[in-house]
Amino acid sequence: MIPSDHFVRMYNELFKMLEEKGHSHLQNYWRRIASLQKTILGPYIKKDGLKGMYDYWEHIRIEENCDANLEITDDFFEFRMNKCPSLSKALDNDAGAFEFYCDHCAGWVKPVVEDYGYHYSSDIISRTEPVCVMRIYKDKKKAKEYNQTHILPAKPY
Amino acid sequence: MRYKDTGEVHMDFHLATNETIEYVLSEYGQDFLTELFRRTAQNVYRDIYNGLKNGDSQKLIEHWSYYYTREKGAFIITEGANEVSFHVTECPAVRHLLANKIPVNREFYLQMELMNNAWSEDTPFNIETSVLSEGEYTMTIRRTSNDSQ
Repeated sequence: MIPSDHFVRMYNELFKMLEEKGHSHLQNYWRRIASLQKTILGPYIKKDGLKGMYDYWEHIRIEENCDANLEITDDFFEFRMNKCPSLSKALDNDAGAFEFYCDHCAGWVKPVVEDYGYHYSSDIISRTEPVCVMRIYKDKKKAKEYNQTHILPAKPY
Repeated sequence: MRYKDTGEVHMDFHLATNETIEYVLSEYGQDFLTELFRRTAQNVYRDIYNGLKNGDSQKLIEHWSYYYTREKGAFIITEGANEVSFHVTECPAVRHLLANKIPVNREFYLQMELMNNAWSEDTPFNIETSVLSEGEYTMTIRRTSNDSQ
């Protein structure tokens, strides 16, 4: 059994293998996992919108041992990662981290929130420091404005 | 242990592993999946693999014991003259899939079989994986030679 704690390091290897075949192979995999993600995250969004996102990611914050702050406003839901356990594991890894490891997160969250009419904006900030900020907006224009402030915008597709 | 996680456990990663195995098999075939688990077993778990190459299976037993315990699985370890059998009587990953009403296909068990094959490659051990029933399997580490790398 691949332990739950180590799925991260296994898919880090898969990312490398798919990227070797071409970036579209990696993107297709992200879309497949986004479909799975929709069955888990989707009901939260459908039921409660931004509040549903807050509830889902609060559960993730606890289960995945994230050092993170969550915020909800009238315009957006924000998940501010102070220490990402996922990138931390990919970096603390004898096989080494995939160069574009962080992009997967947007790769399998963005399609889900967009399916519900929301707009995704994420600042990776750094590929070697486990910090990032994700915001999900109701309004497309506001999401685009927020994008302009990013150090390293996530562009999975 | 090279990796020893603590704190909460996000069991839904088993759903993603299941989805990943299905996806890789359907899109790329079993050789690609074999290579994925080979890289995982030998590169990610380099410490365990190097131990096996040097004739030491204890790190692998310790890894299994820790993570099956952490995820509240059930297992029995039996030691013989030239082998150690790790008999999983309740696999946490299978239990989580079933709890989420996801059927457990034979392919799901490939993660154990292919990891064990890769861990035993070029080592003095053979690791045999036998699925006994849903969520129950044995992984038997058998010394096949006295040579170590």
